[in-house]
Amino acid sequence: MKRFEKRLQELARTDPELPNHVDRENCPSPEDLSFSFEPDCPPELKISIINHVSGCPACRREFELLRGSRQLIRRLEEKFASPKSSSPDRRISFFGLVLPWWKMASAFVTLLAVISLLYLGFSHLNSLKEERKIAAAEQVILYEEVSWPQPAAIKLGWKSARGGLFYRVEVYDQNMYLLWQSPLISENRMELPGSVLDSLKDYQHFFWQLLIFSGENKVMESEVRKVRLVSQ
Amino acid sequence: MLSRQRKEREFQKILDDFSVLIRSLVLRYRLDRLGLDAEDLIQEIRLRLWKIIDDEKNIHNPASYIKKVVESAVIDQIRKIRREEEVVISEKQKLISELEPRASHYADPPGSIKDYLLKAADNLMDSRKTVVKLYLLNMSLPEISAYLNYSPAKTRNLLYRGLADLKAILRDMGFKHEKI
Repeated sequence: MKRFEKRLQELARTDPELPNHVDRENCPSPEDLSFSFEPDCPPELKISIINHVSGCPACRREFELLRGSRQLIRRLEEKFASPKSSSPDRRISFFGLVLPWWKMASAFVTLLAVISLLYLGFSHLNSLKEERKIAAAEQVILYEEVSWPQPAAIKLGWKSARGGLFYRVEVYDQNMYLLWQSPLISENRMELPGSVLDSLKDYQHFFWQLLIFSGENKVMESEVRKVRLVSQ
Repeated sequence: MLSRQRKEREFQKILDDFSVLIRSLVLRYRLDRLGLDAEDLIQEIRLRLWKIIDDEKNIHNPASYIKKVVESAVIDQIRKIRREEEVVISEKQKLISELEPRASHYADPPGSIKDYLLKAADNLMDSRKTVVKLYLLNMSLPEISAYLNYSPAKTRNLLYRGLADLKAILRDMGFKHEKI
């Protein structure tokens, strides 16, 4: 069969006789001959060109010229065009999902950002929970010495089973709005400054709370204590 | 990214191979008589392509540009061949027509083996006929697959069945395998 096939090709390839007459009205145009190599060329056009070219030596040589140029185009594309065009669209496979590298990279960065945010959110919640647990477990005794209104003097004191490094006092009005925040102090008692006393003069009571700063970068909150301001 | 020297070498190699093909076509079909100069064609393609291959930034889609450049250069040559052919042959025809009856254009001598071969191929089933005719045009299996948008398996199947049919038809026409 092999010998038969080769022989057929050789016979069909017999070089054309020199033309004696030129009448190429029925020949396909060079553009059509070239277009017949395109994948989107209609099959009818391809078939009519193949039928014509098989019997027309003049068109056959042009067909062969175009065929050779297609090989040239393919080789040039493989060597010089493909690497450049494929580079920006290089695809990466990840768990069976094949995407261009830039899509995969942006998806990865977004995923990383979401995971980080979730981690930060959860760890913050956990730390808050831990702080609340500690504060609730602590036995902190709060007490006041009040002289009201004349002379006005309010001293706040506290005793903590686990000593803190620093303390901060927060004073709220009777509607629980923050009125004043002390600086960090190391003593177990403090006297409210005159400006705070002035703010409290119209109130029947106020609230205060102690923030205890331990050495583990954690803040413990005492219970909120209500203090009545009664004329003595 | 290829270095410039490497690109130059590979480009030269590809064009050299193409040059061999064009020269063989020129010799076989005596296209030099009709003004096709293989070196001119290669040189034109070389000049137009090297610029864009060397400076990749200029062209958005190099693949399509390469194709356009080569195609248009070859089509221009084909047009030139046809124009020259018309002039040369019509002059020749004037002389011949005074001496002998008008011959059919480009036809092989009637009754040649090639003529019988083409007639036999015309009797094949349409799907097989197309593939066999392309094969007789010296195209390879991958080339036929690409040309017809067929899978290699389908092309191979149609070709082998078509060639077997062709053999049977030629036998019926009085040709024996040994003769072919």
